[in-house]
Amino acid sequence: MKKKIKINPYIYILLSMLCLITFIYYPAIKTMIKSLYLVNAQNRPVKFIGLENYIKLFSDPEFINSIKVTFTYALVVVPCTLLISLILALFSSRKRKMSVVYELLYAVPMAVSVSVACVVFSILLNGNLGLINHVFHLNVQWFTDKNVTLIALMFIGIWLDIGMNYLFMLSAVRGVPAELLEAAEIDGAGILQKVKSIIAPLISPTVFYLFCVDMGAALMMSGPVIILTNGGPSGATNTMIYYMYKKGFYIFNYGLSYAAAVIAFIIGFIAVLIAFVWERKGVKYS
Amino acid sequence: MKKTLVMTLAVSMLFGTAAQCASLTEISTAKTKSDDAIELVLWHNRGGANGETVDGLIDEFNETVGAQKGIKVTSVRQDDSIVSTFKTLLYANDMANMPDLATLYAGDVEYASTVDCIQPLDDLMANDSEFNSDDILPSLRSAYNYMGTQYSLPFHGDATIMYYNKTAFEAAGLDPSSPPTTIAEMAEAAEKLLVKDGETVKQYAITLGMQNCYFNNWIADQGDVFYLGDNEAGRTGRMTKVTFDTDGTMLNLLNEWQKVLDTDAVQSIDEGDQPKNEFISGLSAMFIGGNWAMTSIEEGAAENGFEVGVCELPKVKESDIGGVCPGGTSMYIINKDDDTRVQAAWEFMKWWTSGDTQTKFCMKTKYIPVNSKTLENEEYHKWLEENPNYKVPFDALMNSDPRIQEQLAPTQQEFQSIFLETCQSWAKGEMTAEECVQNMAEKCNAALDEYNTANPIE
Amino acid sequence: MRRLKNKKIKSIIFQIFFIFVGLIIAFPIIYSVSASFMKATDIVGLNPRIIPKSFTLKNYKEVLESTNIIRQVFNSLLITVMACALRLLVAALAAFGFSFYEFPFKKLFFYLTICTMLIPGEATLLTNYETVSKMHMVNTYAGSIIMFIGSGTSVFIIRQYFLTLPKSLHEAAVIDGCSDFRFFCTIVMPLSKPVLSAAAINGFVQIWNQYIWPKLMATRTEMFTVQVGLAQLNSTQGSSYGVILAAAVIALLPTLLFFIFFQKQIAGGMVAGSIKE
Repeated sequence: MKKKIKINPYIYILLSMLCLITFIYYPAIKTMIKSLYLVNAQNRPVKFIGLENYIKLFSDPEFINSIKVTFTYALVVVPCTLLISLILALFSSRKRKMSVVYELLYAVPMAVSVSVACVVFSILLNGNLGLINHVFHLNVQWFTDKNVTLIALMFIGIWLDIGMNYLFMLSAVRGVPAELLEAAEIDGAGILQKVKSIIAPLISPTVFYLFCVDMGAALMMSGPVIILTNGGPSGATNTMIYYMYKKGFYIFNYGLSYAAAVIAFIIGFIAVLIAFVWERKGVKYS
Repeated sequence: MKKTLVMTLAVSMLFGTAAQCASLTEISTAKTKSDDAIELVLWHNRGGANGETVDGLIDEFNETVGAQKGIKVTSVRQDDSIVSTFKTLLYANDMANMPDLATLYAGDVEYASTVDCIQPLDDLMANDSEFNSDDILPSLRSAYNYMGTQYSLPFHGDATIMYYNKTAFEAAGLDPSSPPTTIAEMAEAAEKLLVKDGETVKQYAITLGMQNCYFNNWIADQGDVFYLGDNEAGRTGRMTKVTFDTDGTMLNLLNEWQKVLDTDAVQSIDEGDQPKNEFISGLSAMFIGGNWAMTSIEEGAAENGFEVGVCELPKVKESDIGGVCPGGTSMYIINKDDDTRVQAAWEFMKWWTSGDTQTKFCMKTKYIPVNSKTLENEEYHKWLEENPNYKVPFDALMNSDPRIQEQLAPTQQEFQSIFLETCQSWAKGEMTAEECVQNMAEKCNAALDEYNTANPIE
Repeated sequence: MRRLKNKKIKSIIFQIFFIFVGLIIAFPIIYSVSASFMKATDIVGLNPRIIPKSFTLKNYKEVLESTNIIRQVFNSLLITVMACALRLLVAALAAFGFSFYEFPFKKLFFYLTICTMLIPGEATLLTNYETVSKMHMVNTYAGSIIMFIGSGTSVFIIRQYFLTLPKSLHEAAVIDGCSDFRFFCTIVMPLSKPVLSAAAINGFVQIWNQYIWPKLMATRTEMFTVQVGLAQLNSTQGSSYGVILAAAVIALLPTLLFFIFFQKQIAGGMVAGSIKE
């Protein structure tokens, strides 16, 4: 083999990289640079202040709390979503007469946008006038009691993620060759055994992907907080990106806001790196 | 699969060219029209049925005054964050896509005063003999006057009033024709309005969590006029600190409200439409809100079978001057370096704020007309008599001291969350009124400091 | 014979159970549909209802009267279908590069690709508007489409799938003198139908539900997408839940149709035996 840099692979990734760099990394880097400045309400840098925004950030207990909240959220939502969608995918792995119906029912939450989901859940979970409390004779203030609000948001988060996760899980589970499963059945393997020794390794690439994407989305969660709780009560749902949003759009301190975005990115990046260590060990591609 | 892919691509290309053609023809028709008419774009944020009313009136303008003067107004419905869309365009310096007219909320006037392309109206108003600025309701006019300059004229007016469930009042042995006029009287009524079935509450007196919109009224109208923060709550210069803690107004208010809380007939939840929905459902017997809620409350009350009364906002104390803080949106002209466009936009603004237009607008939407000339309209008079509920906010705003205005803290949104959250803990008994005031003042001042460091006052 | 019958009964019980679970999961959506036919007071009230007490079409009437829904659906479909097709194509090409080649900085580029999901939209919005407005693409379909083409997660999922394809396949193709691009077009893509379908559904739904960017790209009413148009109903205080839900249901319909159409492709699955040799 001659030592020659092939240009072929670069051509394949060129278009994608071009889009991502122009519309994500170029603005993101501009943002990153602004985090070293004092930025005014018109979003223009006023004065270079070095790492001052970062120092402020880490001395703000609210931000430290937001990291905790974000991780609590992510550590519940990601495993739950994966588990539920895996179970649903196993339910529907075999084609049956009615499978079209329940496949649709399992996947349909993905078609709902975050804002619509928030409206629907705010109606259903309305403390005094909502259906859920009414039907189950509960008296839970889902969005104002600081002990349950994060749980309500987790619930909404899981519900929003299930559809997409299920869909990819299903396509992975369906990809498991039937003859392998039949062979195992003849050997007398139970369901759990089949999952563990045949299905799990074969779907690991998909699970790995879903883990990364769910993790990323959970760490970046802000939509339902903005719409439903404004970080409250008492900071119980103040996530990292909501903190960023609030500093930027409510207080117009964009410098600090962008510093928070950079830190959130670094935290997310570390999570991705850890996931990739797992990829090398546990994910089997063929 | 390849076939499907190719097909999809081909179809989408076809779609694309078709659409491109469609938009091209639109541009060209717009151009041919522009030979004889100036096309102005108006951004407003009235949606649904009210949006239909606005757009219908704009069509009327285009057919009458607009046709005579060669002006065509195109309305674009935006959402509640018009101002952020505006800021985005401004940041990119994209004047081509800027509207010529835009409606913003009352709290944005300080921001608007810092934007170069927003046209101050004083000269236009002074040079137009057909326009008499005294016709505009004083409260509303001064809401959009910042440090002596008129930056915009009101688009629609709104005022805070109290709705009450007449049927529930009667059932509780209260006189439905004399609703409470002070917070202390509210407390008395509240005690009677509370209906319990064992431990579960069947009817509360009111659903209300102290927050910004109530403070705008209840801090300002105590004694003589008071302000939430320094520089007349940001009206004569940037707010640098809050003053509600040092002048005692907030403590006054909270202590009065404590009387109502003590009856255990209050739900201190104030997220979004919750207070209104609980009022409509009959769960609470009083509701404090603006004209914006009138249509849906009247509809809902009819469906649920109770009668609604409307009264002026109760005062904090008997001796207070009272009055009400005007709300709503206002219309700004964006100057694109073209005087004829500015003049055309002014023509529309003049037409919109005129007595006739406002009469038609308000009779459909139940907002408050911005022009006192509406009173000369007989049809309107008749309508007022038929809708006694509606007359209350209109009169309240007409008679209110124009100094009672919304606070202009540049960090309003943050104030709102601070107020709501801190007062909620106070209402639950987690802190005393003094602590609550202290806590809110500290947090508000911190937010102001943060803003003022990032945005030094020049 | 009996065993067969037992099996059949078991299967029916399973299916009923699965559908029951499905109804619970989809309940918020079923409820939305039901509530969109209710009066406001039956949705939130002291006795909220699951099934409308009196069936009303008022909410739908208000939605249809106050928005130009047909034009908006057209705009949305156009933007979504084009952006989604381009997204898949671009992502599949990149995924091919990442999974069939070794090259310097591959890791870096790959990390860059997937870390895009860690950058919040709020942090890029202003600059992106500036860029697109300099390209004179505001108020055009292209302005909306271009923003949704690049997608790190799409590259990621397709790469995951490509990696499971046996290496021997590529080697065999090379020996046959098949160029890489032809190999990509004629062998890899057809084999990847399930994952491409899943990614297509995901992309379609995601782009269809976009709101903030299409809103900025539409400073004229003619350019409104469904989401932008329907949000106006919600924008001012006083809109009732019924109207908002009716709007949401209308916006949901096209996604459902798209979903049902593409679901078969996933359900079909890949013909395992043919490539595992």
